Amino acid sequence: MSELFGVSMNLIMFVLLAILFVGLASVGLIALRNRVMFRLGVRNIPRRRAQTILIVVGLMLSTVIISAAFTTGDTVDRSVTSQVYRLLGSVDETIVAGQREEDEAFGDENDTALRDASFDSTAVAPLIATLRQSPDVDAVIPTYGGIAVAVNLEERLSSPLFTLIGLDAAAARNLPDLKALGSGRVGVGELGAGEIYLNRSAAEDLNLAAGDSVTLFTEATTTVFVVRAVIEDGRLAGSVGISTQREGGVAPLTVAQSFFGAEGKLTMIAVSNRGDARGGYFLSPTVEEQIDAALPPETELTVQPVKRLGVDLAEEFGNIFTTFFLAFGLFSIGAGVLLIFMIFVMLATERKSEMGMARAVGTKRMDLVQTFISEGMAYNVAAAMVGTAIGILVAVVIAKVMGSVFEAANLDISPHVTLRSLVVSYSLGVVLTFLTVTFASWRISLINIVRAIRDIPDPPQPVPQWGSRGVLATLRDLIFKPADRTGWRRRGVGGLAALLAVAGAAAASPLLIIAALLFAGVLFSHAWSQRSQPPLMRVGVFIGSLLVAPLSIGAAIFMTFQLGPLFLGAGAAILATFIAADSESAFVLLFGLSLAPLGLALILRSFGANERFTYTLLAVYLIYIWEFDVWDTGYGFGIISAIFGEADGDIEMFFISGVMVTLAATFLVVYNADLVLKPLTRGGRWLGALLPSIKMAVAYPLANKMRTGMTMAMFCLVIFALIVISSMNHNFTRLFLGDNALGGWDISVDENPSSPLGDLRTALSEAGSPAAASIAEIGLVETAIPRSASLCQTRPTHPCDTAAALAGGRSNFTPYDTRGVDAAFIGANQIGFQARAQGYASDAAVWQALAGDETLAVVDANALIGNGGFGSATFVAGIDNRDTTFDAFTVTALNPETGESRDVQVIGVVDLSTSTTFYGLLVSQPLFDGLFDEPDARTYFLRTADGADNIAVARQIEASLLTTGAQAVSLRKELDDQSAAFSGFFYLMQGFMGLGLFVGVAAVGVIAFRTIVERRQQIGMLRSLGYTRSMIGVTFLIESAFIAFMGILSGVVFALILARQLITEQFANQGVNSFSVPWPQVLAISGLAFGAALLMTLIPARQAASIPIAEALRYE
Amino acid sequence: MATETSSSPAFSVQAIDVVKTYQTDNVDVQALRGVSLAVPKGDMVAIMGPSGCGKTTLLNCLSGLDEVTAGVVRVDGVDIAGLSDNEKSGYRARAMGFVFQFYNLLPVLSAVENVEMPLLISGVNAREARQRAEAVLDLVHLRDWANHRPAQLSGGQRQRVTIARALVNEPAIVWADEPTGDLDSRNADEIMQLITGLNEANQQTFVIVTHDERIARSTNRIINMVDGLIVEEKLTERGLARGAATPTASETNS
Repeated sequence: MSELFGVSMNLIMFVLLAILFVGLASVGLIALRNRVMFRLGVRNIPRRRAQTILIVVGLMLSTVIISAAFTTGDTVDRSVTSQVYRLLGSVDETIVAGQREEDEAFGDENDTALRDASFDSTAVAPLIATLRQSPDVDAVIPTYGGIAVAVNLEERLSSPLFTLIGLDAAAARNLPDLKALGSGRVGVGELGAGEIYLNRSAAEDLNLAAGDSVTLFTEATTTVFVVRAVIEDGRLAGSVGISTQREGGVAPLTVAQSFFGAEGKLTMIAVSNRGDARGGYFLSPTVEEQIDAALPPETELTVQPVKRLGVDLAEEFGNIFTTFFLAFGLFSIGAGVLLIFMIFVMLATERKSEMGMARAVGTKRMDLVQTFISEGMAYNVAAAMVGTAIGILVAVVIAKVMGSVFEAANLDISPHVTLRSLVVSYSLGVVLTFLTVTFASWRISLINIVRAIRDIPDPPQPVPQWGSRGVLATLRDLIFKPADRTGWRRRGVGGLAALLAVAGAAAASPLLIIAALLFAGVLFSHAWSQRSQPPLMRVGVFIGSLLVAPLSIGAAIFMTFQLGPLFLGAGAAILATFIAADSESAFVLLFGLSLAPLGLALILRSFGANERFTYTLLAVYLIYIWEFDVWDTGYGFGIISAIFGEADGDIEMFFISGVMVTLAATFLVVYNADLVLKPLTRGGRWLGALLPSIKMAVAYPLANKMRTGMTMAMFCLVIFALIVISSMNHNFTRLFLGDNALGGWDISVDENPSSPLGDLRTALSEAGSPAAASIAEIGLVETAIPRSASLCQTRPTHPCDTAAALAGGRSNFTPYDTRGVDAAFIGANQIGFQARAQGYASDAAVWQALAGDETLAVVDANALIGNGGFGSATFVAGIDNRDTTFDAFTVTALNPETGESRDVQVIGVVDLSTSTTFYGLLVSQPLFDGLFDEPDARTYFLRTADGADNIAVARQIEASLLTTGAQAVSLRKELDDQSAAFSGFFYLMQGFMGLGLFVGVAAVGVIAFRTIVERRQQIGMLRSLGYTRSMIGVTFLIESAFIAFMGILSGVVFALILARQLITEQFANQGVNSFSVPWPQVLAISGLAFGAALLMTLIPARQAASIPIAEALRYE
Repeated sequence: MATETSSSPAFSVQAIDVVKTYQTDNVDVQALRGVSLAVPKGDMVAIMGPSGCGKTTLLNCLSGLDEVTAGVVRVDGVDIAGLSDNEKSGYRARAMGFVFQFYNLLPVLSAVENVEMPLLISGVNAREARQRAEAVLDLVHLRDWANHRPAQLSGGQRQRVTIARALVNEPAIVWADEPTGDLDSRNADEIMQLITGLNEANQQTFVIVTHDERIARSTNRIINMVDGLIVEEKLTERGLARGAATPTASETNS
């Protein structure tokens, strides 16, 4: 892969390497200049081996996710690129008739029945001669390719879109592209009369081998050929697409021309650049220019740099995959950074008295920072290395799964990693950890010496004396509290500098959070669109956001007192910007509306407001605005839109709401769990011997709110993401691939344009097909594909200028499928509408009107502008998925080839869930026939009799119509296959995101191990009071279970609410219950996470239980 | 199962030739080198000696918190070494109370929750446990501080919570390791007055490890240790006044 978020990977690598160098150099400097502190830090590493291993595991998790994402990108890039090189072989450019869109030059045709236009071979003879003179060109091969139906009559197998390509034997003589399976290179010149080469895909499809006969049908002719050999697939071996139209064969040029009745004609000139298949790629721009220069003037011929486009497309695929994985991995990376922060804070707590002593004997704060940085960097360098390696292993597993998911698309996925990705993953992992550790170290260094030595907990925040000192003086103290820690009043200029640094850092924290969340918000749009921000800025935001968001959350937890005014100010500033800029971004609005109250809550707290009341109110408010108010689903009051107007959000809302809801859920639980648990632990008798264990297990997490909150947040964040994705997958599959999508039909039969069927029922009867008896209804749909049809919605500011469209100038027309449906289709279909024009009371009324009026039409829901994305065409404005009625509007349908156009009134929008199969502007057949001379495709939709086996009936139809190449499929089976592939990819994503659960589980483990050390004396005391070993073990297990359970529960509940809102808002009008909870997945994910957390606590719990009492009591 | 013995039911604690050896990486440290003693029921005994002489080790071995390497320890006639770990835990919950120098209170629980913990462990229901805990806190004059956490209490108050916790299940014997070691003299005196008052009122046995001669003099009897051996046992004025007697060698070893 070459780019990430539109930024060159090389640039990202160099920036990261520079930061890595700075990090390593700082530690090197510490080692040289402050050797004692360096040693002090590093010598801590072997003190507790189990703990060291756990720290390394905790530190590496983020790197695992980063490395897996990059390696997956490399794998996809490499796999697709290899496929491009393998299929194109020597062909670097092609010269064909007619202009094509760039992305059509390589890949799968949208319409598989399209034929290449031909041109006269004599007219291009000078061009061929010129190109052969070029030192940059190895070969120029005139070809003729056409589509036929290939049939193995003996076994009654057919390949309906078989491409027979004729090659000029002399021109192709030196090319290595034709390779017989197992026996090496072959040439066209070796073919005898009546012989062809069959490519591997066709041979497999038709079950043919060398020496067998294959019959090729076209509308005009039928010829039997003998298969001389089976050869590898390739462009020069008849393979046109990547996943479709791979089946084909090779004949001498004159044989192919004669077979298709096109003597003297060519369809493509293949150009092979100097060098081998990969080497030719680099000459592509030069040769392209040479071809352009050599093309005759006023020609319809164009050059297609197929290999360059194919390789670039492969890289783009790689980039998209990396972005996709990295974006969805952000939740886990964020949780990982929180874990790193927590690990170091806990290390500091463990060494509090040591640090206090060190400070007492003259060690400076900066020395403590340096000690921790040295230790952290030592862990870090090792952890990132292990993390990168494990990430590669994870990517190998992902590649295996992807291999099976994409098997149907003929795409071989094999794992691959580039050195650049390794360097980027490692550096990013190290840098991320280094900065987190540095921040944590700075926080740690702010200890009070006496309290540290005596291991006394920090006192609660003092309540400002605003009653006696006045509000202004109190506010000043409130804001400058962090500054006072620098002692700037006593230290003159140095102190002032320190003051400015601290003030800058404090002010930067919320700004960086904003930057981070903004970044997360636009992450997706970056993947698919090229924005114009300077690359360096994007790199900065990228690295900054990965690091700063979790850090800032950590900072917010630690520095609540100081951040209050800053959050309030930043929130107010964001809201002011939103209003001033007349923005419609729901994210910006909600973020401002969250940050300001958060700041206010922190300030109120520091004025002594009740902790539970303040944070609970804040949490409920945040949950309400992010999960209820903004969604137009009837579960909120719509207060925000009433005050600030309508605001729109996209996928970024998923990321941001994940973070905000996690924050809110954490506040809600840690400040209120006691209300539920205390009565439980008081209650009683029924708990029996478990009562004291439960009492202890709950008391510790509730007392240590920060530690509990951070661990809970890690679980909540990852579970939230997993459950949202699961719910979306489950509901999309249910809605789009459920029975609704069938539109009341069971089988579709695609006619082969080379062999029209006429009337399907008659054709089947004449063929004596047993299928005829099973068919109840047949409807016909004729299609003009986007290349043949353009549409425009007439709006006041949006004129439909057909003249401009025909002249190729700027116009409001959008190439879009237009389909004619016959009366039988209209009468028998069960396609529903999510919105109907005013005056039409039912779906049946719409269809009835369409049948009787040629000027009416209906359109699929994908045409609505709000449903666009991923480059799909849309053209209907003013309606969204929530509308159930609309005013009928006019659409102009244009045939760009003939210049004919018709205006139609659109009176219905097909259910989104049905629109995948029944897409396009659906008009009556007479109107379609009047506008288009010949459809690009004809599809029959069949409803079978009750109880019919649709798969068997489809097979019978294909077998009966074998020689026509008609393709029949069971619509249900096709949807099931799509569902399997769709779910396969989602499961893969879930599996990847599930890596984040390791973070939560590791956090539970870290806490449990740490807790044993911390509570050793207390364990001894409990044992002296009569606690048995098992009670101690159970206490630890319940404690971990409690934290994990609360995190998981919060994640599940709030994810289901969000998913419900997302689905309900978009798909409320689909005629089916719009939201369903994927209970098996929810239970599996929750159970797995919970079980793993308990498993992780088992070892420390056993250790705690086996501590000798006397030793524990003596422990200091 | 508990190994009941028929001998010396009048003694709360009996130790016969108790040896305790700690194994470190390179050397074995003999903390107790054959200690024998007997503490009559309702007695109040102070164990004194220089640092490292084995006072705390002896207390741990006598109370069953630590295993003895050799010798016999009987508490209320029960051979501690013969009990399983769970039986020892149950025995401690029912019949023993502990007071430590650094209080060892659970910081996340309030005073009353700390005090009720032994009762909950013994299976007393939560409501009754709370009532009894509050009653004992009343006894140590901390009723008004019942809902405060340890961090919100002074050293003396914390130690009184510890004593309340030690007494709440009405144990036959209370073990105290330097109970006033972390307190100023005023608080130390208060605590000792409390302990002696309880000893007199409830006839509970107290075994107290201390450095403080003044504290030791408040008990009935002082046992002096040096290098893991008892070198002297003597009655204090309080002991003499209360008619306490030093057990004879034969009583100790029987």
